[in-house]
Amino acid sequence: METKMDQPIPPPPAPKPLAPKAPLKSAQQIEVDESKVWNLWFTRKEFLTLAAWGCFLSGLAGSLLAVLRYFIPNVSYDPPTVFKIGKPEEFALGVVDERWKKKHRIWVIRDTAAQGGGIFVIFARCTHLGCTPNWLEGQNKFKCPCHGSGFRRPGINFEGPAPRPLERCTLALAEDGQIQVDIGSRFRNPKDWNRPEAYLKVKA
Amino acid sequence: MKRSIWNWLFLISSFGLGFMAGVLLWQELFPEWAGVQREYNHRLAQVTGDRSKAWAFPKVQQIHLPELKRTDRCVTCHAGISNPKMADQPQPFRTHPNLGIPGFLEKHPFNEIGCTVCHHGQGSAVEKKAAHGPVPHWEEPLLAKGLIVGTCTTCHQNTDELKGAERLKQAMVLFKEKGCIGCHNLHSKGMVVGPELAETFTKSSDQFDFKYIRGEKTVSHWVEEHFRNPQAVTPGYPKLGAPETPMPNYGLSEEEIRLLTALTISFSSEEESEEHPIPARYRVAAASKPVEAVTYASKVEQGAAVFEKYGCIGCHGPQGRGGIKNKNMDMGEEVPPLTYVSDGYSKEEIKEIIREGRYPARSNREGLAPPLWMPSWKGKLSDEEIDAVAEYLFSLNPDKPKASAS
Amino acid sequence: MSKLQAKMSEIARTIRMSQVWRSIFRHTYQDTPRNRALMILSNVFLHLHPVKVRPASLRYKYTWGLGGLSFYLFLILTVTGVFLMFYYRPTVENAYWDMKDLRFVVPFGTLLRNLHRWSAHVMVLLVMLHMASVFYRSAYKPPREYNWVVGVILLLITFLLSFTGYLLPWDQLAIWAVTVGTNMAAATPFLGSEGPFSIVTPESDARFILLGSKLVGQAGLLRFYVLHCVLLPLVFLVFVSVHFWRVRKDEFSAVPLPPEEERKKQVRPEEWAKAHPEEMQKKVFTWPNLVSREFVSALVLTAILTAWSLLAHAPLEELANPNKTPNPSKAPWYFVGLQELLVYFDPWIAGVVLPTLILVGLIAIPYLDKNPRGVGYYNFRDRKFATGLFTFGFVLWFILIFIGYYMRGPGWEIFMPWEPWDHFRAPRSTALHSLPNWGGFLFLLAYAGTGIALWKIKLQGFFKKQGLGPLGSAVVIVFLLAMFFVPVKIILRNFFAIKYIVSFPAFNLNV
Repeated sequence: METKMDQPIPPPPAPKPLAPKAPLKSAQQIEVDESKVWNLWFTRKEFLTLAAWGCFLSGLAGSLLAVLRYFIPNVSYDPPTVFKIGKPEEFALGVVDERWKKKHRIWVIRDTAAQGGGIFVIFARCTHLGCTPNWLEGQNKFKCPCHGSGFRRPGINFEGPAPRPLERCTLALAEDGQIQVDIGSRFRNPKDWNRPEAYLKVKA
Repeated sequence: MKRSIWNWLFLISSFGLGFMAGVLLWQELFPEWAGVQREYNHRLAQVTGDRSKAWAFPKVQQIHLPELKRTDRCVTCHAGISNPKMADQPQPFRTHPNLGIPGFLEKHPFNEIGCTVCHHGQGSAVEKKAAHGPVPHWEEPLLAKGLIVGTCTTCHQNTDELKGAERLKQAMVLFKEKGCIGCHNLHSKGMVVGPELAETFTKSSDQFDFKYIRGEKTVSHWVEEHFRNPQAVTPGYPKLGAPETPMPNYGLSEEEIRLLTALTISFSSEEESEEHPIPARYRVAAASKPVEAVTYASKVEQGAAVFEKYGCIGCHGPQGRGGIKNKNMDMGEEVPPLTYVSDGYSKEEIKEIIREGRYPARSNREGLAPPLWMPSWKGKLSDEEIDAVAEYLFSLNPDKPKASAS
Repeated sequence: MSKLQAKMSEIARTIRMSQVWRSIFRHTYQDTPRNRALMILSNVFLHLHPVKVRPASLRYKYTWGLGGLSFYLFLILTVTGVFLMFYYRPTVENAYWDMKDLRFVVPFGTLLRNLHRWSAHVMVLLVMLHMASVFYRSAYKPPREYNWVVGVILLLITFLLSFTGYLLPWDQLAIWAVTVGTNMAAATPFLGSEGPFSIVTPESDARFILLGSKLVGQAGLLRFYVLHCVLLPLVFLVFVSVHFWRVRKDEFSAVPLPPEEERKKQVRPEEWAKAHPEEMQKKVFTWPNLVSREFVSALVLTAILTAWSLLAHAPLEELANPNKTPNPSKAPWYFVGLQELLVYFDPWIAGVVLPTLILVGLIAIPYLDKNPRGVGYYNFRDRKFATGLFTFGFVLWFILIFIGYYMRGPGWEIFMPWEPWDHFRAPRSTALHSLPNWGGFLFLLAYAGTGIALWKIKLQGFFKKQGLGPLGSAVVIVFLLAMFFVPVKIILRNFFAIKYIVSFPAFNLNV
C-alpha cells in the first residue's frame, strides 16, 4: 500500500538570495538546506558532478587493479634455471644418473651407442600433479609415489594417472665443455625430443 | 547554481584523486629503469644485428646473494656488463672492463659476487640516484674509479702480490714513507694521536665534521679533502679543548691523495670483513710465505728499519729532519729534529728518552696542550732495537764521521 | 523513448524483479522517505547511524569529524597494513631488506608503505585533537563519563600501536627508539629491574616481557609484530565497538543551542521545556545529509594523504646496528615530548610515573568535573577552571613535543630550529648540583603546602559549590600539583642548575 513514505522526494527549491545573517533562534528554526548535499547525487545530471563521480569510480577500479598488480613483484627470488652439470664424459653409458636430482631436480641419462649415443635430461616432475618420481633401477622405470604414475626410461608414461610423458630440458654445450641445462625451457612433446637442444650427441 | 562547500570539496578531491591515480599509473608503466633497458635492447640489437632483441620486455634483474647478505639490482640498467660485444657503448651499457688482468672476470663471476661488494652503492635500489648515492641513510655510496681498488681486501687477505692491486702496494710505500703509523693506529697497532684508520669507513658518518668540506658530504670525499689540507678540514675545537690537527700538510699530488684514500678504504674493508665475516669460499687466504729472518747489513740499517716501522717518521720527519708542527710546545713550536742529537746527547741518554718517553710542557700555560708527545717505547721495542735506533740517530749527523758500528 | 531504451529498461526491470536481485536488495533506490530510512536501517555498516539526526549535529565545526576520521584512518591502516604483511618478514635478517624491496621492486609498495606511515602519524594527531574537542564541548559529562574512559583507553592503544609498529622496519630509528622505550619499562617501580624498589630480575621484569630477551633482537621483533598486527588491533576493535555503541546509546551530544538558550535551559529546565514544546523534535534523515558529509570528509582526507604519500617518503634509516647509536637518537614525534621530559626527570618518573598520572588524570576528568554547564557546545566562560587546567596540560604536552622535535640536536643540546646540527659545537650545558635531601624535602613540603594554601584560599568554596567532596578536592589538588611540577622542575634545572631535589641512589629513587 503506497503511503506518503513512498512518494519520491521533490528536489529542493532554489536557494534564496543571500539575506543578511539573522541571529540564530532556537533549535527548531535551524533548517537543513538539502541543496548543500543535493549536488553530490549523480542523479543530478550536471557535468562536473558526473565527471567527479567518474574520477572517483575509476580511481576505485584503479585501486582494485593496483591491488592485483601489487601481488606480482618485479623480481623473482627463485633460484636460476640455467646451470652447468659437468662434462659429458663424467656420465656413464646407459645409466640414469641421479647426482643432480636433489640439487636441481633432474635425471641425466646417457644413451649407449645402440640407444642413440646422446645425453638427455629429464625434469623430475610427475606430469600428473607435480610430485617427484623415483627411479627404480630394478624395475627399469620411474614411479611416482603420489598416485602411482609410471614412466619408462625415455620418460614415456605407461601406467597410472599421468596424462603425458616426463618433460626433457633444453641442453647446450658450454664453452668450457660442460653441459648447460635450462630447466626453465622444457620439451613436452616426444616429437621434439630429437632436436639438438633436447638430445646432446656426444662422441663415445 | 550555487555550489556549497561540500560540493567544492567533493569535486576537488575527486579530481585530485583521479589525477593522482593517473600519476601513479604513469609511474608504474614508465619507470626509469625500463627506459634504460629499452635503450640497451636497441643498442644490443644494433650491435648483434639481431632485430628481435630490440623488443625484449624490460624486467628488473637482480643478483641475489644471501651469503653476502645483499641483493644487487645494478644489472637492471647495467645490462651489458657480461656481454663482450658492448665494449664500445657508453655507460651504463658498457661491458665490464677486464682491467688488463687475464682471468679477472672469470675469477669474479657477477652472479656469485654481485657488484656492491667491490663498487659499494645501494644495490637494492633501481633508481639511479638511490643506487649510486650519496643519499641520506645509506653510508656506502658508489666509489669513484680510483678508489675501487680499496675493496679488494674484503676477500683478499694479502694484496701485495695481487695483480690489479698494485696501487695498494704503491700506497703502502707512501704510507711507510710518511710514517702515518706514528700518529694513527691501524688494527690497534701504532699511536693514538689520530684516530684508528681501519674504522674510518666503518664508524658512523656523524663522527666526521663536514662543515669545511666543499662538494659531496661523503666520508671518502672528507678523507680526500683532509689529505689536501688537514688544517682546513679539522681546524680544532678550542671550546672543546681539541687543538688544531697536528697532521702535516704533505703537499700530496691528486694521484697520491687517491692512492692513500684507496688504502684507507682497504683498511676498513679488511676490518669490515672481520666484523661481518664473508663466507669461507669467498676468502682468498694470504699466501703463506716463509717468514724470512731479516738480516741487516749494519746496526744503522736496522735502526733505520725500526725508525720507519714504528712510525717515528710521522713526528720526527724522514731521516729525522723535523718540520712537524706541535703547537704550544715548550721546546719551540715543532717536534725536535733528530739530525744533531749526537751533539747534545750521549747514546745512553737517547736510549733513556726512547724508553721512558717525554711529555712536553706548554709554552703558554693558558693554551691547549700540545697534541704530539714522545711515547714510551719500553716493552714495545726490544733492547736490541732501541740500541739500533740510537745508532741510526747518531749516524744522521752530517758532521760526525760515520762511525762504523756492527 | 527509443526502441533500444525501451528494451534496456525492460531488461533492467526483469533483473530488478528477479528472485536473485530481490534477495540481495531489499528495497528500491528511488529517493523516497521510506527508502532514505531503509538505506540506513537495512545496511549493516550504515546502521551504526540513527535513521534521523538532529540538524545541529551536522554542522562541521561542531566536531570537525575528528572521531569518525580517526576510525577511518584506522581502517586505512588496517588495509594497508594487511597488504604490507604479504611482503614483510619479521626476522632480523629480512625485515630491513623487505622494506627496501617494498620501496624498489614491489609495484605500489612505496605508496602503500608511505600511506601506512603517514596515516599512523595523522591518526595519532587526530585522536589527540578529538579528545580535546570532546573536552571543550563537555561531551564527557554525565551520562557520558564511561565513554570518555573508553576513549582514553583507545588513545593509549593508538600510542602502543604506533610504538610497536615503529620497531618493525628494523632500522636505526627502530632499534634505538625501542631500546629507550623498553629501558623506561625497566625503570618501572617494583616491576622493573632498574626502577626504585625493584622486586624482579632483568630476566623477568617488565622489559623482558616486552622483549622476550635482555637485548632488543629477534624475540622482541616477533613479539612487537604480533602485538602490532594482531593483539592490539583486536583490542582496539573491541573498545571501539563499545565506544560507538555508547555514542549511539547516549545520543550525539550536539545540542548546540546558542549559549543564552543553553544557559536558560540548564538553569531552569522545566520552564524552558514548557516554552519550547517542539524543541529538538525536528530531525533530518541521515541519508543523505550526514552520510554525504562523512563521505566527503573521508574523501578529502584520502586525497590529502595520497598526495602526501606521493610527495614525501616515509624515512628508512640505516640497518639496525646495536654497536652504533645515531646522534641524536629521537623517538617519533608523539613520544618526543616524553623524551624531552627525560632531561628533567629520571626514567622512572618521566617514562612511567608521569605517563601513568597523565592517563589516570585524563580518565578521572569526568568524575572530578562536577560542573554541569556547557554540555554539547564550546563553552569556556562557564567552566574556566576545567578549561584552564586542560588547556595548560595540552599545550604543555605540545610545547614539549616542539622542543624535543625542533630544538634538540646532537647530544640533545639546544639548537634553534634554523641552526644546522653541528656535532662539534661546544656543549652549552653547565655543571649541575643537587639539593641536599633535607633541603629537597623542605622544598617538596613547601610545594605541597602551596597546593594546600591554594585550595584553602581560592578553591575550597569553588569545589563546594560544584559538589566535589573532600576526596575529590584532594585528588584534583594532587593532579594539579603533579602537572605544575613539570614546569617547576624545568625552571629549577634551567635557571638554578638543580639536577635532583631528593636523591637516594641506593634505591634508584631520585626526584
